[in-house]
Amino acid sequence: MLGWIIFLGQPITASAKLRMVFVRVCTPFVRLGDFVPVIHSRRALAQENTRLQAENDRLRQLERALTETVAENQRLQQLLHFTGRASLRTVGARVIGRDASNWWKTVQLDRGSDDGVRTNCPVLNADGLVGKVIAVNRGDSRVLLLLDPNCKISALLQKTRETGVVVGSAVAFSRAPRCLMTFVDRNAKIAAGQAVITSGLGSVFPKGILVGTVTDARLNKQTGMYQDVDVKPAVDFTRLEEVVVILGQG
Amino acid sequence: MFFTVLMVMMLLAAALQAALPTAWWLGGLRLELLPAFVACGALTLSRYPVSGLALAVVAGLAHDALSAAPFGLTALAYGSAVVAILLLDEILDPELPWVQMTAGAIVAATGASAACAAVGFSAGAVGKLVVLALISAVLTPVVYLLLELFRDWPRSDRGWEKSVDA
Repeated sequence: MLGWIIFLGQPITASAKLRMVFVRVCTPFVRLGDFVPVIHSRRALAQENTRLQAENDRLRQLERALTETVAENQRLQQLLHFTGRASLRTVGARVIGRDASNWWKTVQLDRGSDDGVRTNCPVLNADGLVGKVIAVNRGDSRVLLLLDPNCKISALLQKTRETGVVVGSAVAFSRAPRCLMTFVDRNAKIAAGQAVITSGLGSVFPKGILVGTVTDARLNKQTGMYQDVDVKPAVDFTRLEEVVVILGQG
Repeated sequence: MFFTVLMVMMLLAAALQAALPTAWWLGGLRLELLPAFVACGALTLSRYPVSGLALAVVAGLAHDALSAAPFGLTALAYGSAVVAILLLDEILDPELPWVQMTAGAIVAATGASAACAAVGFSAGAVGKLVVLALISAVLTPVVYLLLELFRDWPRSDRGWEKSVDA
């Protein structure tokens, strides 16, 4: 155990290399999940083909696939529209895994340093800001979501231009995840439904990305010197599929 | 052979855990399968403590590799929990469901305590820790039963043939 504690205290490169080995071992198992629906639908098709009219089933399956393709196409077009408008250098990525722990809010992407992804690259989807990259391997990377208390974003209220810092909510049990915007001027007039966007300060997130909308505001209980604003994230984190990683200005 | 089966199943469980969505009926938590596997490994491999400990460390490292946890933290926690279970092995019967439940709860609670140490203790975090320990307590006997099927594999068929011959 003493040896292990010494290992934990080693320079970051030693443990990072070992982590990379484990990520490489575990990621193929994570990617196995991609094949499960395929096997399932083939089985279902085989059963249905024996029981029902083969032609009808094939058409239904085709229709489903088309609907999915159209929906995916629309999402990707929205993403392209946003990133194209902002003239940013980006790379599209798919979410291949979530965080194995209940204590951190992260997701794993199928793009890594080979695709130009670096630590601190902002990540977004068609709805708004998703988070930032915190760890990169050659073929995959890990993104710290907006919901994590360790993710702090300089933001402003779009209408009144009041600035503050958005942090993930530390609430342990919650069905609908929330964020908190702190350090907002105590005299600021804040209305529910107002949009919260990134301010561009801090040089990690570009200015103008939608973070969420205001749901509630109150004076900070501890100090009374500023307001705490509840923010509902624009992104539905339970349905994250495709995202865009911003690599830099175009 | 059983150790290899256990290791592969454990890696699959880690991957499944990383793919599972959060469950609203668990208050937004995600099912954690690894503590149950680690506890079952410690109970079934009690005659080979090094194997049980190795399984716990690999499970912890796999967990940390698939999350944002400081690398090695969960391995340390799972390893400590398994050492405690192995020390109690002389006086506990691993076949008893309540022993399995307690072992699962100990592993999950130790892992959650280590995570709490990293993210900070709070009333909500302690509540989360208790819920995760309870979930593992429920899951461990189920995983233990599942592993029983593989325990004598691949010798189980030959045993069946012998009994038929007799």
